[in-house]
Amino acid sequence: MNKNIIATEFKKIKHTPVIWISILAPLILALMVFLIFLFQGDTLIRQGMNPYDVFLRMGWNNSAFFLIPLFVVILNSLIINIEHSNGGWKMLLTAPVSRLNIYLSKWGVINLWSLITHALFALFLLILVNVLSWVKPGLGFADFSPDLQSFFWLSLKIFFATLALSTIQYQLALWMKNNFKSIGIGLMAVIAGLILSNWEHIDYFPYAYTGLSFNNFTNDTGILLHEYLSLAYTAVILTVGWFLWKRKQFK
Amino acid sequence: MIENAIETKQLSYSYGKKKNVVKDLDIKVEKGKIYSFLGPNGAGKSTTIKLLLGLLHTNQGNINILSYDQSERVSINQHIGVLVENPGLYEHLSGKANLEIQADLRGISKDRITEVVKQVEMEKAANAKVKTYSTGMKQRIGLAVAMLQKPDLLILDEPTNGLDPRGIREIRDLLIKLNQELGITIFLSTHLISEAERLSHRIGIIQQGKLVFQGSRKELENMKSSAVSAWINTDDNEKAAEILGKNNQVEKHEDGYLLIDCTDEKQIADFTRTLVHENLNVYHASVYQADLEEMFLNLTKDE
Repeated sequence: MNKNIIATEFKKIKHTPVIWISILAPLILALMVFLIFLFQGDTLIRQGMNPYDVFLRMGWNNSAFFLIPLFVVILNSLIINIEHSNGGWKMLLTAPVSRLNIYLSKWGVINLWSLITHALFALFLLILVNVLSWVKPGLGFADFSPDLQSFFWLSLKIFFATLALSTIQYQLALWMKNNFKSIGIGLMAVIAGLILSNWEHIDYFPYAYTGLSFNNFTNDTGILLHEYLSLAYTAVILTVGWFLWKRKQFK
Repeated sequence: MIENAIETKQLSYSYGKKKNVVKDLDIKVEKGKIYSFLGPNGAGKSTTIKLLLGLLHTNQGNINILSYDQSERVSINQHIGVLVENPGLYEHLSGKANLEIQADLRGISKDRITEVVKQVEMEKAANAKVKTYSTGMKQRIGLAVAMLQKPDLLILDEPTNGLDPRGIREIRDLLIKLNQELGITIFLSTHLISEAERLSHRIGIIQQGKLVFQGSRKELENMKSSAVSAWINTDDNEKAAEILGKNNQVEKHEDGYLLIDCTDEKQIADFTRTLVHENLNVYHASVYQADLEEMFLNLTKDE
């Protein structure tokens, strides 16, 4: 990956919907969790429960199964579409940078951007849970403190669980000029992941990984099978994808 | 020995069912010259340029640019400036932001951006978004991008396409200036013979994927006046083609007529005599002055 390319990739994202989606989506989602607790906190937090943890887990619970994988699908298609829609590939490929560099840098930028969005969501949740503790101290906040370590670990696991599906979507987005197609396929795969959630081999289906990471999380879970698989898929698909894209003809 | 900025050997390209989009091209572009790559739309100009730029991979043949092999793409790209059909600008960004992105990719300072913007006379509109630009303005920013890294060679696909006459003249003057003052070699494609004649030292003509002429402007002039063909139609053109094909280049026209290369008009009499001698009925025999411009008009008619 090349520092210059990554910097230019961020410049290109300016003035596109990508920025708004990655800031507004986590903000709105976190606000929704906040509002739920503001009005129904008493029923959600029972006596003796850590209200911080209930709130923070609810944040990921509402997003891990559907919205996060969908976001990653859309992010890949939107960022790659900046090149498709402007004939930008020709410009990029005639600059003195190698194809490999372009390939890896774009993948890097997409997933860095996704990591930033995950971090923003976590940050918004943390801010809002503290706001809630001031507004509604009666929910028992005074007796507890948030388990930050476990929260960060869960957030990180969910991010790593997105990498496999992100890398698959990256390939689709690179080859499909029409981003509705790649988003459509991604959306169907995410829904399939939801439907198949009880399947015995679900560990091998990348689009279900974020949900699996959330569902199987306890304070002392290490890295799970599907999380190892997520990294393995990423490595394999990124490599195979390179050998295909390297030969791509730009008509 | 004259050094060539671009040299291709038997460059061929096919994709899918389209065989031989270009076939056996031996292009030679001398350093320091302006070379026009002339041909009607669909003749394979853009394909050739995309092959030169590595956007398409060659099926066969060799490309050498500024003494680099086609596999040394990054090195080649360090020394060339490129403008493809539509300049590939990011429409949601300003002209200047586009130039900044391209400058960053090449590790070029911001001062250079001001210089190239001035060179293409886009100072006023540089901060407006590209989607508000006219074709000519996009073309100028595209040229500015091509100029960023002070290239030794410019490869331009139809640089005056979509411009008004004034715009065309300005771009033309700019290209001549770049060539004369900075010694930049320019390879440009065009479908306008007038443009090729006005602008270039050397001209290559491509038709249906084949290079049918390559040489100086003077040579092109000579060829225009000397090339003569015979139009012949008989009751058995297959046989006629076989007979005349022994000593001459015979081409079968799509409406059945034979088009035969000859040195001068008198040879046509020999052709008819030979055919009559072989018991063929000759229905038609006429001179076809292959005026290049006319040939070209015919070729570009179906645009």
